Amino acid sequence: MISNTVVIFLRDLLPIFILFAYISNMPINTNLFSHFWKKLISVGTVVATLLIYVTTEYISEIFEGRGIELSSAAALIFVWLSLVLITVFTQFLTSGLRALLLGISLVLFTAIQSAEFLIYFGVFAQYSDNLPSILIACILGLGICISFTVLLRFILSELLLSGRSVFFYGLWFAFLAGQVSQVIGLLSQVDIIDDAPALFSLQALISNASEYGHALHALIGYESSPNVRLIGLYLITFLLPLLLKILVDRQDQSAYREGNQK
Amino acid sequence: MFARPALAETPIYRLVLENHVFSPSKLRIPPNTKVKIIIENKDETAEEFDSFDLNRERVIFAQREASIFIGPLPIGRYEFFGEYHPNSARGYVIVEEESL
Repeated sequence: MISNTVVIFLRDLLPIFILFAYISNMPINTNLFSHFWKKLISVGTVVATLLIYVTTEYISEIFEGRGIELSSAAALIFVWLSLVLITVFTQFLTSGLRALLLGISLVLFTAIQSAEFLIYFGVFAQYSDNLPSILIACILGLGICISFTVLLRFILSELLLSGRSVFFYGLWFAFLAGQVSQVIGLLSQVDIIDDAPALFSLQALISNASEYGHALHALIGYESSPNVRLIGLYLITFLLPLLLKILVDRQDQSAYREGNQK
Repeated sequence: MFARPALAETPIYRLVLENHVFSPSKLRIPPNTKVKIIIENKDETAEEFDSFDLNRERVIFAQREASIFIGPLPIGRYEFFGEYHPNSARGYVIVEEESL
């Protein structure tokens, strides 16, 4: 019970902690972390989580039983697109638009992941004798997530301070690619796209079922047996924004240098 | 890449979850064929059908059923389990020629 709850904690909630570790380090110049926005995002997240939790059963019935997969896929694509836009084209978007896209993405991502955990929590909360074990597991899971986030924040901050922003953005886009790549599994599960056989298997090395597998999945979207579509989507959603970010930053730097020379 | 409309010949299999146990625990399906699995949850609580081998994950609410598609798969044994009751709700999809 305890180990299973910790695993579900890592699967559902660790990605939220990782997302906040990146966002809190990222130089995106929004007033999102002002008191007002923090309050708005917190309230929005709680409301959206409860709304998704309450309506998930009904969402699962719509679109001929494909509602959960379609809505999750749409949300993941929206989050990827918004976060890539505000990271790559920071200076082309107004501060208000950046804050709005970032706010919606944070609320949507957090609410979807938290609602999945709440379903699990709701099942076991029905049996009162399970509550002490679940609470211990939640404390353990929270401890792991917080420790992981503190360490990740330190590494990310060091990367930026030492001028290795390419590595920072490489890790960031790998995280985002890992999240949006889940769309392949969701859509093939409900027969919207065809499934494909796995190209190779790293199951013997790091199993997706292990704690390392869960942590790597949350961090960079690790899959032990990926198929060609998953690899294709992962590479596109990872490399395209990274290359664009490098190009845009280089243009900015050369424009800055030219401005200084004049 | 995009799936063709569901054909009448797509084989359909049923899995029933009762008392947190999947029945049958060994679901035999043919190789290299896409199949539809209807999972019926007869329990009073939700369960999540999960399989790392099949890359599938689906919540099935209490007293409801849900469908997932798997395959085409090569011959082999693919484990699945109930995420909320992994000790009792376990089983395998066995892909073999004899199930044709």
